[in-house]
Amino acid sequence: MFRDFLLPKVGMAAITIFATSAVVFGALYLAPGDPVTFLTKGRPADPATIAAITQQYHLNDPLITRYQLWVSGVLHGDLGQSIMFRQDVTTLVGSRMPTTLWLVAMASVLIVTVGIGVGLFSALRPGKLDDSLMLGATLAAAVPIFVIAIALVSFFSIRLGWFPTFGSGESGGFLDRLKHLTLPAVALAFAAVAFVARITRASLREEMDKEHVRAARSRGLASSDVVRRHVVRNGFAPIVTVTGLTIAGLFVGTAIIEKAFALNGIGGLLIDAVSAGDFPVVQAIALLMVIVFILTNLGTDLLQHYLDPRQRRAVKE
Amino acid sequence: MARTGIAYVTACLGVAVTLAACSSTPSDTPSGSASSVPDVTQATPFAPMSPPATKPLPSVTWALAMGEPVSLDPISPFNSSTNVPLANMCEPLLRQQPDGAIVAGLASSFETPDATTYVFKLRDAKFWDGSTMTSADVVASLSRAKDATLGSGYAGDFAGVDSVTATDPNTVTIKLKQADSLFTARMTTGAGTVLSKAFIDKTGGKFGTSDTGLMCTGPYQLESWKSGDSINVTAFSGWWGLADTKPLVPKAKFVFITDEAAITAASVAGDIDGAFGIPKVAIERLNQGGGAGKAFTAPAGLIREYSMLFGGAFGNVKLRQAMAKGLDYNGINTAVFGATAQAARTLVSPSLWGQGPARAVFEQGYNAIPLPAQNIDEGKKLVAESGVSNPTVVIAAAQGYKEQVTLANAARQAAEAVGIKATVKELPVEQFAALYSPDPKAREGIDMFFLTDIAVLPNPLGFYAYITLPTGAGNWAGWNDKQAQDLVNQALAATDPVKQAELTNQAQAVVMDQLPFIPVSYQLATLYLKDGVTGVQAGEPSNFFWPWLAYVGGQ
Amino acid sequence: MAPLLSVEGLVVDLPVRGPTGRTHHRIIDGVSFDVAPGEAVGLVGESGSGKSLTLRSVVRLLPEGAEVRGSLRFADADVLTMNRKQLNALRSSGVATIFQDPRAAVNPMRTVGDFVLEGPVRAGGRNRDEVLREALGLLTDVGIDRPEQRLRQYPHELSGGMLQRIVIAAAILSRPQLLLADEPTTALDVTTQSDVIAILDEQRHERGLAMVFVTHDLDLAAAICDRTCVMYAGRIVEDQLSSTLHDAPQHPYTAALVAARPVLDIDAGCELPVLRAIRGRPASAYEAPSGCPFEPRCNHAEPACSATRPPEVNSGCSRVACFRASELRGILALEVETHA
Repeated sequence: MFRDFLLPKVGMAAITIFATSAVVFGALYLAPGDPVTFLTKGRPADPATIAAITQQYHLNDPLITRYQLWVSGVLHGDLGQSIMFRQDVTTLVGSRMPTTLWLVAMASVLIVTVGIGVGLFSALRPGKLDDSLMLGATLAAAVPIFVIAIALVSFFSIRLGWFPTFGSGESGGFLDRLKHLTLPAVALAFAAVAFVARITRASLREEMDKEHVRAARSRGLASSDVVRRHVVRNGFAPIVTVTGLTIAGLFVGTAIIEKAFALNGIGGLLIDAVSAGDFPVVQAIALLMVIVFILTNLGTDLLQHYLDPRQRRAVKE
Repeated sequence: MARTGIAYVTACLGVAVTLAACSSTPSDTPSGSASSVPDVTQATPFAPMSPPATKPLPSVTWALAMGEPVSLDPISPFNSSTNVPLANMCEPLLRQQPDGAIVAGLASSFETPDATTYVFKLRDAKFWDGSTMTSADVVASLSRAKDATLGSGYAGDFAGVDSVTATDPNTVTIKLKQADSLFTARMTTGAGTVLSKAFIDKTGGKFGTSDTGLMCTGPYQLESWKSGDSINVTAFSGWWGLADTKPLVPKAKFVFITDEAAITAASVAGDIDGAFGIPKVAIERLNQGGGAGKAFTAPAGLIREYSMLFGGAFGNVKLRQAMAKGLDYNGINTAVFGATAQAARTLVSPSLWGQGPARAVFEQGYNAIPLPAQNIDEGKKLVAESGVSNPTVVIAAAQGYKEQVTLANAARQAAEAVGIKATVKELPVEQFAALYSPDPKAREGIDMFFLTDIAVLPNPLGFYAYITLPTGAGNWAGWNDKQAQDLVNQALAATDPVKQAELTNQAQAVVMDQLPFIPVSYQLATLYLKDGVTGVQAGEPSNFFWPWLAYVGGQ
Repeated sequence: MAPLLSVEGLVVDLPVRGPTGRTHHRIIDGVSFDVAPGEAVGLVGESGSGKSLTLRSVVRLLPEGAEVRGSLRFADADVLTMNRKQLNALRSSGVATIFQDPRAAVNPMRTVGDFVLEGPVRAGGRNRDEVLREALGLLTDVGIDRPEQRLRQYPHELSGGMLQRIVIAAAILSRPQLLLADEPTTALDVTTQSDVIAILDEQRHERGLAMVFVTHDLDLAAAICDRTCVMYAGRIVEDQLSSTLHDAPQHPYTAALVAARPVLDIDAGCELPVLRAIRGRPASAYEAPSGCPFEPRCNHAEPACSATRPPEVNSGCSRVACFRASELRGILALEVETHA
């Protein structure tokens, strides 16, 4: 198991992370935006200042040298200093990680429960309700995330006053955090819930039409047994993959949500860092997101591996 | 030498491009409309923005609409996110009152034995850690502010300073190379802000970040800065000013909300108690009523203007004047800026006239300038008089910023109306920002662009020195007008405030005739206050350096 | 003897989503046949003739929204009016179905043992250990070696032929009275086809089970079925003893099917066998003309054939639906013979 399955996967993951970091580094180098302009606020600065900044951040060194410096730093556990905040990137990103993780975790719970739940219901109960649910899901998946944020806030925060309009509730307790992050999580999960619901329904419907399900019915199995043992169990493979990838993709969506709800997460930080040309921060967050994505993917693969005997045995042979 | 104005493009440019458009514009082609923008033709006596506070409040939550400050170091370049909270924590030698008067700050008094010597007597003030402020702290702080390599945004203010000396523990003597009538005004900003020397030494100069903190003397001390989440301050029980002013709010939390929809929602829902610089959409929504608070506006030191570059057709003054005649000021202001615009006669808002005998002189000078108005026929005549056949210009706009593009197009229409052929060129933000950097290459092929500029000194001379003198940071266009420069230099050397104001008025008249900049409107400071919260006295610039929070409370 | 299964006037309409909304297409248009206990009946026809759907109708294994009319009786019980529970009882112990492709019909995610035991234990409510013991015996009977190990394996680890034998064993394990076999060898390798057929035939005879066997292979039907029903456009056009069908077809369609078989003629030496295709393309019930559905493709059609539908006429132990059946008898036999 370890040698045949996990080892190659981990190897691939390491190569992917390395390649991504190089690409991000290069892209940032080519992108407009330069730390000098940011630090001097685009205002005239005397040559000594510019020289000091240039020296401190190795801005005059060739790309390769800068990349090497960065990589050797990372390998020694040093992600560098934020140009914007003049703080250790590790501290900066670390302090903002919990909010993003909470947000993504809450959104994931919504996606798994509501998305799969609605899909399951729709798949098993064809009819008017199913049709309207799926139409709703198609529309929901098309609404931009910030529009949803605005709509949620104007209804649940302003009209009803149930939830705060902004903030992560970090200083409060568990319930406070939950209350603060509910709307952001709903907004973040909205399109994904709709997407997962549609995938779930499609996958289960497809499974229901399979011959082995018909065969199971032909043997007089109770409907609930057929659904549980044959439809859901088999239809879950694609659902797990899609849900896993969707959840990994949520990290990208956090950027917009964190801005819209003024949350102190890494997504919002990424936006600020990109516009300031704060490459140590961008690099660290990009790396983090890639790692999260790869880990989620790996997790999905493992789960898939466990779920589908065909994959399991194939590796064994 | 003089650096009293601070250029920044629009309030938006610091915010991420990926988010929704910065400023929504009802129409892309502003045209004259029935409603008009208010004009200030006389010096209205200072009126507080909101009534004085009478009751204590347990705490307030204040939103910073420009986002999280990148630093709370007092010398970091001026930025409303940094300065709005910092004004309550760290104090300058002299203070700029909400009405513009310059009064005693950490210096209880000062003497000017001659035009180039200032002797500051320090008051008995304590830092938050209980230690006493001395002249050593002042010298250490001012030498940091002078040092551009530390990232100081105020180094230019020290260009004319010869030496800063601690004469005794309570006295600081500053010698200038030549007379500078703006020097006291400069000492009301980050240039004159005092930090604990012990703290500077202890932290190796690396402070004002979320993990190192601060050590100052102000009415509020920094309790915590949770990165990305909030800055929390609590009232300092050892503040020297308690005898006169008792803060009504024991603690305050500054939160960072840049998203326009989010700050609008937070204001309407009453999740925040106050915020400066709320966007136009928030004002419009709050004015509809039904929200948890109200929007206020007040004059500020912000000028919206077109910067004219001299490399092409606009090197000809007649064409600049023609351009100014072509613009539909009222149309642009109502369509793009709405409630945040005030008609501009000059480049310096009346809120910067300060107090004292000079104020009336500034008022006279201001009223002597006619309110700019569109006059196409006159514009065409000026183009004909220019002697330039088929003039063409290129107007730059920052790509992706709707307001920028709209204003560039409005300028293009104006130019073509008077007979100047114009094209709009959209530049990436970084390239656009380089237009007002010292590098002349960045401006090649560009003839004009729109920006918002801010002045923080309560004296119009500050801004005119900034755009007139060859060393002025606002003179990126390289405008070289001997008459204007002489007048500004004389005003800087004048010791009598009335004389200084008269000379400034003359310089202003030259500037408004020669038009290195064409004013579009003054940007009003905006404020949100939740119902029941009051005590904010003025907009900008005083709130950037005046401990405004010490006056906030309930009603 | 009372028939075990009696189908009378079966009509099945399937829903289709057309451009103008939901409509129905008729697939089976009045099918009647009986199956006596222990009797094997073949249903033969081209694809689209409705033979598989007829088979599935027997246990009401029809797509969502299908409309069924007519009468379907199994062991004297009305199948069409059965409730869920009765139907499940019928499926779990009265009738067992063997599908075309064992790879598709066995859940790939579950073990073979799970598949084998699921029917009798979960649906039939029998004791697991007892069923397991019986299953092991049955698997050996159908030629599976190391049955305990096989039960622990997954479908993809077994060959198609082995899997189909397991499917047959599982069908028999539920102790049915009737087997429904839907082209059970089409998906298998040619080499294993005859093995599987032999096992099916052997098991059926051993237990005296009745069977409905669907195939497009006339010879195969003739080989293992007592009677063969030839279907065309959702109807049975001819129903005859398998032993005589081949030499004495009574319907022009049957004759054409017989003639269309590829037969290797040893006497012809190296010459390629002549394939005599039936002209035209097979029609489904809903697109068939109002007269005889085979009329457009029939070499013997007369104007009268397109006017009305020919009734099914019984003669002795056979039944045919052709206006000209009696006059064509000799001609059709000749046609078949010339070819063979």
